[in-house]
Amino acid sequence: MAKTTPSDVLKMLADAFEAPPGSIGPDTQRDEIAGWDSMGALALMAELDERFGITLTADESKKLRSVADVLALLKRNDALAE
Amino acid sequence: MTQATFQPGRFAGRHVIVSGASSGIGRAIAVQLAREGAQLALIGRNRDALEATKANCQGAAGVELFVADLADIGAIPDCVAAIKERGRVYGLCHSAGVSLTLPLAATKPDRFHAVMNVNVLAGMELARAFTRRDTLAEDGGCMLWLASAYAHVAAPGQIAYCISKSATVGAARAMALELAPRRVRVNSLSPGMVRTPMTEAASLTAEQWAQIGAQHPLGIGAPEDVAYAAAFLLDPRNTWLTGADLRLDGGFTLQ
Repeated sequence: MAKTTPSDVLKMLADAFEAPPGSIGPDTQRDEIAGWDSMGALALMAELDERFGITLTADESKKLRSVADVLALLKRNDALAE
Repeated sequence: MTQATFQPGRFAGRHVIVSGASSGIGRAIAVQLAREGAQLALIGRNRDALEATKANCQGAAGVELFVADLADIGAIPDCVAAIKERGRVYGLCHSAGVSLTLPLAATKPDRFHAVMNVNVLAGMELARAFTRRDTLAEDGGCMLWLASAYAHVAAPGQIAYCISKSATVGAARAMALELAPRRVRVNSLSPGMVRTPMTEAASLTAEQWAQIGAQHPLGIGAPEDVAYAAAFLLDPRNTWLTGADLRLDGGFTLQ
């Protein structure tokens, strides 16, 4: 599987959460992103599954509270190029 | 928990195809039809899971397994042709289905197509093959499409699924009219929430399950509840029942 880059991850998150391009950074928290609600979380789960083969339960998804958590998840799954 | 009902012989001499027989509602329907003497052709993606269904099909006149991914629409005619080699077919129960829980913004065309492919198009291809003049039983037949309460009501994140299940009800109704002259009855069954591997995989939290259960006056259903209703709708004695959609939901859509 090809690895993604942090900047591509930010683009993926902006797309999944329908956030303006460039509005999401590596330090952004979940509660600062209006579109990261329960529906946005489902959209993120779908992207993680399709792009990286990472499947999350609803409870695991709830534990992602920030962009950093998503980056860490991708790193743990060997999907993130540094 | 309801007791198993047993009407020996209701499906004696009847060859019935059940798609989605690997698990959940499809499995329960296969088991119920087996109890009532059907000859079964079970279609599913997973051979081991189909074998497990077959192991529970006591009473069947025969059980043949056909491993097929119904998302591969092109493979369906050959699958049904192989089933026909075991004898003309009386019944088709399209129980295979996939769910998708996503907001509209994430319901991209390829994800939407995946739902429609299995839930609707595969059913159409199965119906086309089943009703071929060299395949259908000579005294007519019966089709049952598994729809959903979500053919009639909506929920957030269920747009693709709602569309597919509404299409299922529409398909059954249109086919019922067109196929009546050939004595093929077509009905749909719209269950409320049933705990199955498909619904378990829908990323619902424990709180969401509790909430959904609270919305069903008689509680969340079991696959066997759906199987009893399916057997009624497929019953060869129900010669005047066609174009019907049975809402089977513990009262969910009453509210």
